[in-house]
Amino acid sequence: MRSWMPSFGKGRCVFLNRTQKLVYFSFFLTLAAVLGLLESLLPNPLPLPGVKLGLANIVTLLVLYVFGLKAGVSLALLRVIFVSLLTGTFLSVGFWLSLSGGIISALVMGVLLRHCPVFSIVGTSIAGAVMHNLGQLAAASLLIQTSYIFFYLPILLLAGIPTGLITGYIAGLLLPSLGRRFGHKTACRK
Amino acid sequence: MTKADLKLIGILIIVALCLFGAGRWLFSAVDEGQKAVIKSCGKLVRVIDLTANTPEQQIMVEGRLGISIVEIGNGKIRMHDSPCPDKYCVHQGWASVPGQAIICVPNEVVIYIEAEDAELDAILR
Repeated sequence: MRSWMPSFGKGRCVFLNRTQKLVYFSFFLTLAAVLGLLESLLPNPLPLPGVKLGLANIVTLLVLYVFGLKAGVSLALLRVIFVSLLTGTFLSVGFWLSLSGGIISALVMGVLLRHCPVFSIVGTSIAGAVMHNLGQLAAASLLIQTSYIFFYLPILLLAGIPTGLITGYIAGLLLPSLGRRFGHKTACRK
Repeated sequence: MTKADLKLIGILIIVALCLFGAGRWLFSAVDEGQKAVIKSCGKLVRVIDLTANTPEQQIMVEGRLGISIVEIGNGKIRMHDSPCPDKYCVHQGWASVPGQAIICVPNEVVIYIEAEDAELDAILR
């Protein structure tokens, strides 16, 4: 059990035992997968490949706040795998792009939360969205072996700002009620 | 939103604009590298550098039905005349962007524009 179950860090979620943590984590994972799936079904409103709202990012952000870095990164990893299995894109090019983007963005957001408290949840979310796009682009350039793709970088950087703002704002609305439930310090911080 | 958030947004916008400028500058240099490839019946006939400096010229290409006339000018290329019945290739007009192709099926003449690595790399859904 211990080997695969995400650890939530010491001193966090003191009210929850191991099973409860597992249940809540699974609940969040389901939520993230459903949001990711929903988003993959919606047509892209912009003619820019790779630019999405990133609804699943809301859940990653909340889990990072409530459970910590490791749980957030595990959630991102598992969510990408689940969504790719559901949409039939497992191990395709798009899968590797989402995987690298998701994990890098979760890592950066987790580190920012822990070490840079100057950012609010919106700022953290913007950083995550931008890093998601950068991670995707890095993976794309590795897979495709061309540097042409980096001409797309400024567009992705700019696109990360509004998407990060929106997802961060939504996560900020949800956070206070989650903070009450889980009794975590950072969750109650504005 | 804290002050740090706003700073982050500002820095991101500045970096993106700088990169955009740099990209435009690099792109204009890259544009020079495109070539037009002419093939007939599967065999390579000619490869021509397609820049604004390329002199205007017409090239006769022997195809399956007869001779197609390919015209080059102003960094663009087109099928000027073709012995094929439908003349789709002629009506298609000028091609100049890497990846564009003019294909005459009956006469088996193919023209396509190539940049150094502008092949189709991957398809994303």
